Amino acid sequence: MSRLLSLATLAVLAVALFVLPPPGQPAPDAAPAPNPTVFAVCPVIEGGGRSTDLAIGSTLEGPAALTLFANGSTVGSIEVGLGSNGATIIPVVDVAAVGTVGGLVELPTGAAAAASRIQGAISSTLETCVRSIPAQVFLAGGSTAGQREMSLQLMNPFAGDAVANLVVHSEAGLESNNRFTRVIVPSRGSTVVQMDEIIPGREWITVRVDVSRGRVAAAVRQGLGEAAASWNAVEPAGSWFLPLPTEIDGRLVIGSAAPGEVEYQVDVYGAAGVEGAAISGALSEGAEESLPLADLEGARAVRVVATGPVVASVEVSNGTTLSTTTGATAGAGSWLLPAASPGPVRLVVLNPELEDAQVVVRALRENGGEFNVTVPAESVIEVGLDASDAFLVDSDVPVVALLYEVGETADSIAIGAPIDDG
Amino acid sequence: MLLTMIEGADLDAALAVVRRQVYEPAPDLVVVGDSEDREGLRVVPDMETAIAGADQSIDYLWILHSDARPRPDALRALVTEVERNEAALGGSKLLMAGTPDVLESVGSATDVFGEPYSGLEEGEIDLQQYDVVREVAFVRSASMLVRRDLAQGLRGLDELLPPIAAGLDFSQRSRIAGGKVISVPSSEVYHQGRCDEGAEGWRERAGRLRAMLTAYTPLTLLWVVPYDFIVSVLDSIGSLFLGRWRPAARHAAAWAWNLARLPSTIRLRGRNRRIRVAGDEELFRFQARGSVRLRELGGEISSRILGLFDDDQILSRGAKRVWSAPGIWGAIVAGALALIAARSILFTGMPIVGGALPFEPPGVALGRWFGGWNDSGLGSPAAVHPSTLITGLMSLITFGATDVARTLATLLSVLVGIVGMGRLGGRLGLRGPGRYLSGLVLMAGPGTAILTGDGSWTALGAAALLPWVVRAVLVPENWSGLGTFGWVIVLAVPLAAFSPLLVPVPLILALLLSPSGLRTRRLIRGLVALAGVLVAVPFLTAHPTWVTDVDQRIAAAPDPIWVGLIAGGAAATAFLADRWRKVAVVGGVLALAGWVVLVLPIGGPGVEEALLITASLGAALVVSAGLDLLALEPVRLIAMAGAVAMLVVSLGSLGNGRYGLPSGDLTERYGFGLALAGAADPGRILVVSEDRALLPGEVRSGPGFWYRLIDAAGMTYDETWLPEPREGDVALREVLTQIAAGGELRPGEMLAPFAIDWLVVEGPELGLEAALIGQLDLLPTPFDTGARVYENLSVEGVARGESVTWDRSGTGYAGEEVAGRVRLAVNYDDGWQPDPLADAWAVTVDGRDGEAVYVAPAMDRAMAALGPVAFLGGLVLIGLGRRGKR
Repeated sequence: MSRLLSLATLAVLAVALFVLPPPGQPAPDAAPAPNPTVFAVCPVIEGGGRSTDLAIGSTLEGPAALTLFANGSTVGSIEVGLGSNGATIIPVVDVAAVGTVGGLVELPTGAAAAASRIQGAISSTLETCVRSIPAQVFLAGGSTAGQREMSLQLMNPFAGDAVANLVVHSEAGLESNNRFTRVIVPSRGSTVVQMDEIIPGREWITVRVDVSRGRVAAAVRQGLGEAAASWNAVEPAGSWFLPLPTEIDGRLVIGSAAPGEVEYQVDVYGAAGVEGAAISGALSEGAEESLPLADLEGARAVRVVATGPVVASVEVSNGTTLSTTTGATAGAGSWLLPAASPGPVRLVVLNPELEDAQVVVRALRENGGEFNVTVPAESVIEVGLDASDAFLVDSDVPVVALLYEVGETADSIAIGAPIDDG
Repeated sequence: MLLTMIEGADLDAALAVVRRQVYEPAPDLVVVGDSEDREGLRVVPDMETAIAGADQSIDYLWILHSDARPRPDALRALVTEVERNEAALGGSKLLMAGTPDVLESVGSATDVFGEPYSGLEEGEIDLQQYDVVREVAFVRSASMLVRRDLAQGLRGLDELLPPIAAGLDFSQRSRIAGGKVISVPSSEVYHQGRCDEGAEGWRERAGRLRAMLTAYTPLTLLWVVPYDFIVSVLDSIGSLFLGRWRPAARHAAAWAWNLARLPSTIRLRGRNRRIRVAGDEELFRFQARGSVRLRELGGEISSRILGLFDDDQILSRGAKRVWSAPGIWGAIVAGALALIAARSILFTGMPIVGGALPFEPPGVALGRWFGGWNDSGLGSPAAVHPSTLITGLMSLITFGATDVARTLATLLSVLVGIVGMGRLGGRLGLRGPGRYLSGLVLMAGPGTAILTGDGSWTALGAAALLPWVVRAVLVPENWSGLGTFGWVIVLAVPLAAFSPLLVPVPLILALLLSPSGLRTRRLIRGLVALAGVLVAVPFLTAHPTWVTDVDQRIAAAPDPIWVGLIAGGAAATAFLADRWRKVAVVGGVLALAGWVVLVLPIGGPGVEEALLITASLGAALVVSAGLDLLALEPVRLIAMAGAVAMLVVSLGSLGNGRYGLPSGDLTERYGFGLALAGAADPGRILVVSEDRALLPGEVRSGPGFWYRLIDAAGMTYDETWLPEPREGDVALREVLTQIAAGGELRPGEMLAPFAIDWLVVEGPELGLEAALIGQLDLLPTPFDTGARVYENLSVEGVARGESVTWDRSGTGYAGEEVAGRVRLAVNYDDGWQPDPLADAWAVTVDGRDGEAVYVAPAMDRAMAALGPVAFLGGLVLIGLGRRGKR
């Protein structure tokens, strides 16, 4: 090889190496699309004059199971099959007499939901069980003033222990108590934080649950005399929808979960259409705004929009009854509303879209019927339904559905479970 | 005078010489042995008869071999000095007949085993440097003067012993009888040495042993016999290491011969006891410490090792100009740097990481190679990587001490690579220090460093052997014969065992580096080197994606700094004389072209490995040429600067103290599996990560992460490579996809059939972990390893029956005999015995035998034997070549 050829060869190869792109780094296969959650975590109270029925509704037939867990072990379990009607009710008393525990409902499909109805002597609460368990959840609307009892139930049905920090705010500011820090929720167990014992006399309380290890589902139970309400701590969001039953008293509660100041506005869906920014304001971290429904005259539903993560809920109270539910962050094409209702209920459907919605409502029970209804754009309908294990609402445009039940001695309200993003 | 008949010696000439003795009166002459009667001569059949028949008036007996030619004054000198020193036995100075006074013996010391130690250099000329009468341990029987009364008391020489041993035996018996044994240098005898033929034979060795057994007291024998046995074993092993098998056979024959003659030895001891007046201390006075044989063996081994670095044999010739020898200081510096680069291995042990994993016991490793079950992942009948065979042999050599074998092999690899580059450089006409220093670039250069940094242990072995194969292919002009082909095969087989696709490189270099006159011969040998790949045929046929699948590569990319240094260094050297230009340019082209192919990219991880090591070899060639001659010329200075820069960059890779291998101890990191299993089967660990470099060995692509299964009892070397996916692997992949998608409440239950007891997430947080938050049977278990560990609460054993679990046994499983079937959580193959049945992707066997073994098809076993047969064929060719030379 001559000198010139040698140099030329070396040069060509060196230049080629600088010009050629390096080989791409190998990457693993794409992660699969997430499967829908096929379980739900429900608060269960059995004993002390209270009893729990768990309602399960599904779009498909299949087996479901309830496992009651406490103190690191399973204290009772049952498997049930969802028949052709797609719903069932499990009276917890038939499974075990367990006190205040957590219940893990294994659903037959992702398009299923469960709800927990806790029936007292003259009280009744209904809330959809938790299907999504993020690392941070928030609740607003609690109170320990007067005779109010407030308990926060942290439930961990999973394999590993969980550790949570509670960031509690009230009108006194940020509550400082070592019982709020590093709360250990053992695997397959639940921890009840009795807020009225720790910080009594607070007019309002918000709680942010920051989970540093594992995961916990959080539900709050608020008692007022014989009346009681329960609702879930949920992941804060910037937008909330809340259909409102007619002829109710109560308040709309908006709580801010994030540090800093958050501005919000409340759009009201009334008979005359949508009134944008009917109310607006600002919230600091952990603060809540309580808006009497009476001030929202003619409101059939509200949408809360905020510049930061907030949680909106509605509390229905007429002095003797009490019920609360959080809103929905978005509309969906299908809603399941497990009810375990002993009597007639009212279904409230909000169509926040700009086109009419053709809605089909099915009662998931033996010989349960179905009917069609049109919900005009940006409006709300309310229909009365006979008792059923659960209800399925299908719509051709995203809607929001809520169940309201007026009993003889108590009422209960619960937002539905979206099973389709619409 | 007793003239001992030596076969082949001229008796008449001997008699003529004896008759010229100036000693007065003339001695009576008796011929001992088979001889025809001669006039005036008395012939007796044996020495004992001759001595017994000696007249009482005779003071001394001169025992002389018929192949000895004494000077006329030899006898007089002997008598004079023996009388003057009041000795009982005197020996002449023996000079080799037919030479210019080359010394053969001036009396000898021995070691405690009777091994002679004369202190004479081979071919040492007699310049009267030993001309002083002194006591010695023994004198040779070729010419010795002994007091008649002592000789009669000792009954002469032991007829069973060959000459040297007979002299030793007689000298020792004389000494314990109270006589002095002296060497008389003024008595000069030319010795034809016919009696010494076979002096190193087993008879001499057996004779020395007999002399020892008859002379020493029982107390001395108590320690000296076992000691001698140990020396015999070490000598045999050491000689085998040097390629000599005969010493081992001689030792065995010597011991057997003495055992057969034990009764006569005991009789002799009884006779000696009656004449003994001195203790063994009298013998010890003239003995060298330790073992002469082991000392000589050690000297030879060290000489051989030094010779590896010393083409010019400066050291072995003992020259005083050692430091001016070309290449010597380069070799020493390179060796010292290699030693420093091994500090972590020396002080804290070998890392257990990546592909640098513990060896299996030799029986298991060899069994696995010769048709055993490949236990990597979920198992496969596919062949394991051929380097497993090497690890098995290494472990065998170290008597099963696998850690020692692994450490030694690793330490030796860099030294072998350095020496290999030095010898290759020598073959290419280079003589300077660069050729040895370039070994560091070969072992830690641009490509090898990437591989070792990724944990590849095979890269060290392959890089170390590559220059040797190239050297064997690039035969010099005057080398020919079968032996040269034998060496090519013997070196190419282990090279291919480490890195199968490297074997074409010698052929390419034969093409590029050979002058036209030698090209054909070298190309033929380069083609022969391709036969080395026979050892890898089972692996390559069973693991085709290792050659073809680009996605399995580590995607190594050339470092622009290295590209610049190699191109610049080679270009600068191209302006030098042909000797350096050719080597540097070929090296530069080899390295750069290898990289170009690498980035295209073509081929799988096997191709990538070969290209990276080739790039290092190319860079090493550039360095060896650039640093061959140190001179202050501008162009050479540029070439030197480039070479030094490459050397420095390589040292950076070597600098971690582990020859570039990453740190870590997987056995410790994943030791929780074994520790917490207790008596139960530890099962398997599923290790997942987004960063594939954090996982040991080969990995599989999973849903959003890389993963692989490892044996919770400890990952071994053979598990580095994952066989092609089979039904079980597909099933596991599907299960992982389901789990990764979330929503599975009992992922542990899904993983249990695969005997996965633990899930370990390494590195960055994965989507899989979010999916594992809401589940019931994978218990997050905090260990301080930094990894997230989940314990599977739904465990099943790897080998499990109705009521029993079996453990690993060799390459199979064994345990309690049970009436039912035992499920093995391995991929189904009908080679499992007894009575294999498919259980989905797994296999069940009849549990009544209490064991499950895998029996490979005969074809697989035959293919596994290809490499060893080729290697042995190479050895045969070497042997035939040597015989041809003789």
